[in-house]
Amino acid sequence: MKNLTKAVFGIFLVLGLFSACTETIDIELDQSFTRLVVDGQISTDTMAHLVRLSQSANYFSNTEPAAVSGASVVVDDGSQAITLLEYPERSGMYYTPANYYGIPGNDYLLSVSLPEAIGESINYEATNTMPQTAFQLDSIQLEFRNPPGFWMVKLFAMDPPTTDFYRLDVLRNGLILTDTAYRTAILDDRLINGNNTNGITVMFLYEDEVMPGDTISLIMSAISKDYYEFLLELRNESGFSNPLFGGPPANISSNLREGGLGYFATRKTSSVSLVADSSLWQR
Amino acid sequence: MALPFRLITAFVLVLFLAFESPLQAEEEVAKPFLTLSGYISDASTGEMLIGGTLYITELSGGTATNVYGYYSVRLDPGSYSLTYSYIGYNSKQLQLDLRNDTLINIKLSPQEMELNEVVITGESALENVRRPQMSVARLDIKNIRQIPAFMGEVDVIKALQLLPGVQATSEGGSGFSVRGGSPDQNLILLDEALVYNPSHLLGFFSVFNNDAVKSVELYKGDIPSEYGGRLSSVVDVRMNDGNSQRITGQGGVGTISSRLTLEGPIQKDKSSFMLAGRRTYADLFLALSPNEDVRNNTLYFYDFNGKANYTFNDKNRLFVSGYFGKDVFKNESFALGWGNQTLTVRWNHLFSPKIFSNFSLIYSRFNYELGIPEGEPNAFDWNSRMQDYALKSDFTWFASASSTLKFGLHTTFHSFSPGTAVGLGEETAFNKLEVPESFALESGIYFNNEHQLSNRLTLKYGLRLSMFNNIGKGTVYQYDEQYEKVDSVVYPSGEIYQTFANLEPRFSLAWKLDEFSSVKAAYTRNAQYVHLAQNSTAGTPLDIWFPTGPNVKPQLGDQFSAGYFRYFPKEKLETSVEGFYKLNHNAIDFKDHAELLLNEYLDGELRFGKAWSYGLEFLVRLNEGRLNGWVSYTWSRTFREIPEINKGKPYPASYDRPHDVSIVANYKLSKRIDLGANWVYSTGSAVTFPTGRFTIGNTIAPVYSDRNAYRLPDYHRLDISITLRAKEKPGRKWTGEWNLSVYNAYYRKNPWVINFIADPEQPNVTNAEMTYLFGIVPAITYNFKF
Repeated sequence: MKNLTKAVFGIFLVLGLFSACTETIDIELDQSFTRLVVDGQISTDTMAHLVRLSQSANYFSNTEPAAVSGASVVVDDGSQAITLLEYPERSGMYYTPANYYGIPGNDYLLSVSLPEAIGESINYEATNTMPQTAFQLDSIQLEFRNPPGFWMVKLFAMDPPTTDFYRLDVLRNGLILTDTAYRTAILDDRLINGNNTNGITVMFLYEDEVMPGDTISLIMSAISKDYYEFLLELRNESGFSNPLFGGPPANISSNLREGGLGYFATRKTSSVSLVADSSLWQR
Repeated sequence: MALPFRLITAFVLVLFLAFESPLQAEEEVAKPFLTLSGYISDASTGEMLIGGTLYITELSGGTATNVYGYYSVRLDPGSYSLTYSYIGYNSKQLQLDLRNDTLINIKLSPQEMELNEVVITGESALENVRRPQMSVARLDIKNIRQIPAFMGEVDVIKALQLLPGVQATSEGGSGFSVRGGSPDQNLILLDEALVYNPSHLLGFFSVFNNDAVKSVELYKGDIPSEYGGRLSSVVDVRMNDGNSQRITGQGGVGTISSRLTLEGPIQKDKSSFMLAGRRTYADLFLALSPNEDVRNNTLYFYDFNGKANYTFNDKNRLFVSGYFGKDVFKNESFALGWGNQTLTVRWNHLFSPKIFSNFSLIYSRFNYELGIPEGEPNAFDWNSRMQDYALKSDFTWFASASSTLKFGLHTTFHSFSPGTAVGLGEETAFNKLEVPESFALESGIYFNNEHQLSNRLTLKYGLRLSMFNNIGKGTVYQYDEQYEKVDSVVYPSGEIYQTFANLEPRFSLAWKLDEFSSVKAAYTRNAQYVHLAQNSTAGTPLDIWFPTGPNVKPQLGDQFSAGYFRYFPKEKLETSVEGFYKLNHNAIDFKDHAELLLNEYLDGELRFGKAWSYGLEFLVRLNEGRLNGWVSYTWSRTFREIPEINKGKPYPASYDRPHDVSIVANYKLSKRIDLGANWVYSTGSAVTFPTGRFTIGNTIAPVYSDRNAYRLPDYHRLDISITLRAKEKPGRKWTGEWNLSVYNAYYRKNPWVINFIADPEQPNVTNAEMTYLFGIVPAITYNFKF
């Protein structure tokens, strides 16, 4: 679908005759009521996993979202329940111990108890099952293509015969490049089910995001169908839309009960890296 | 199956009842009636004139020609003074002493462009006052050509969008909503063949080449019973038959396209042909672009219209016509193409001067294909197709002076191929993905009687029995209450696995208040069995049509309308006020975040409810004279209510635009100069805006208002044009004219979309960004005739 949208903008570009123009305008919007927002993930990596609590605001509030501090945040994987800790200097950020890791197949329950009610509730819950997808991540390759002047990230991985969903993130020297919903790639296996991906392009990087000697890593995460849909909706609703493609705007789903927003997700991850060799620039 | 059979029985009974009265009437007064019939055509080209009128002074009434130019009227023996006329043509008057059945073929000559000439009649306007048919507009191609056109491309659909009750669904697009209906509820016919996607270049141009078109008729309500299958409107486009007198040509060289039409007799007065072609060359401009990305693109469309006809004798005529069009967009890494094809073979046969019949064999197809070319690991090909074969037989029986009966039988075989995607190349990572094909038979049997009960009162009543059969081979998925697929059934080839039938009554009446004014009222019911999975407001070529079936009920529409019609003979003004109320049962919408493309489980994305709209339409139209055109104002509302959407609360449709004004004016400044202008205004379309926001990672996400709770700013736009004709020189056949047009003359920035997005420079800041498509768009076209 993304390709398609690009193609359509291409058509306008091509028509050139149409002077399609964009400008910022002022619009009066109604007030919105405040809701709890959960942004949390548990992965199979051994690390301090983060659950962030914040509040929704009016659309043009234009400030950092208000953190929700002093809550009790508990993650229960069926066999043990751990309480996440909020560091004083990081208000609204709740972390697991650094030696914590998720186990595929477990049901994770997040329970949040607020010091005072947001919306109509003090207590919020969300559950997510850690996928068991038996995918094999083999390697990635980079290739610069001009036009359109992007690095293409090519994926070599084996998808199992089950129905699966993936999220793909890219890091440069350990720093995440895919830091927004628009750049994070998501993949369902409808077209590649049970296949080796054979180097299909899964992501584009800007020309200046890869320099000789850089370590480029790709994290492939198996995710649940629900979380996949959440990410897809997040991307569609936060980016540009045009009347040709995509339906009418609609609210992004959530796995928070009691009217919360956001998502508590689990991921089964695997990663590979390559060092960008100067031969990549010989073109 | 029991229900359909009962319906058929009921239908046949009603049919017989309807036949009975005129039959008896005929027996009682058998002999005295005589038939006057014939064709009305253009003297210079031999083109049949649709809607040409015959006025009989002694009856203070008359008749009009049908879509094949044929008229027939039953009269007592006696002497009559007859006036044959057609807008823009010199009328002919003659005296007739009617003793036997008489055939009079009349040729009318087009009016010369004399300035101060007093133009003779408002016959067709009076015809419109007299007849019960309401909510109809006929546009002659000559009138359409006078309207300033976007990029100089004269466009039938854009002209229709200027009529009251008709709304463009997006800026510059050829999608339109009639009286609040969805764009897929318009039955768009080209020489009787269904055109599934009437747009080129993402809708900025329509598939109809104006040089090949004779006339366009739009029914926005009170749809006659000979039409079926769509709820909102019928757009009946007829192609030129081809000049039967001499070889002529016409064409044009424009800013984005060129066109050429050739027509002429094969055997004079016996047979003729017409061939028209058009191609855009927007992509030639691309080569000038400094941007390499742009230069490497190919983008164009072309289309052909062809028609030939043969007159065997006064009783038999054969027509063959076709359309072929294609759009192509491609570059190194992406290709997209789509097109429509139609073919119609028709045979007109007169069983007697009283019984006119037509038999048609029709093929129509819409397909598209897109993909990434071979050589890439992502290479794939995806195609989708919709194809129809149809048979129609229609009869008109001019039963008596006061009664005209129409009846017929239509049947269409639909084949749906919603989508197949395959990876290309040996190394492809992609599996084949195929949404199963399906097949259906859609049939209709109808009758309609237009019956003049008294000098004042005329009734039109009819009934259509429509039927829809899903035929194997087909795969039907079953869904649970959460619309998740739970099971599937595969039906073998040829098995009818589901049948629907509906009775569609159509009724209207006209009450003449005096010679120049009347009131009319109508009720019609329509059924629609084939629907479009299209979620966007602007039309895209990626249309998927899907049939009614075990998971999808037919859409039913009831429309009530009433109006007051008045003609001012001195001022030659046609005026009307019409009000309507429409209710659409089993209206279809799509769930939030629906996935419509390449989705085997499309039925699971559908949600059903009801839709309704109501409104008032005012029209003042001046057809003749130096200044002509129309002013229309529509006030209307349109809503939907679907339990799973917008929490079950009613919401306005995106094309709910309460106030809508169109002013279309043409002024003949001198013999050689015409000026044209049109101005449109409408309330902004209903849209959903965010009211709140939340943050996930670094992404700011919206929380929305109720569906369509906000509005875009009001839309308005002025277009102007000037046409300069070359001096006429006697003896020279070549005539040329220059047309200069300006679209959006006062540079109104009409928003196409408003996006709410994060500011790229400042964290936590969000902006509303408006995109508008067109600034001032000038165009120049040279048109010629020889």
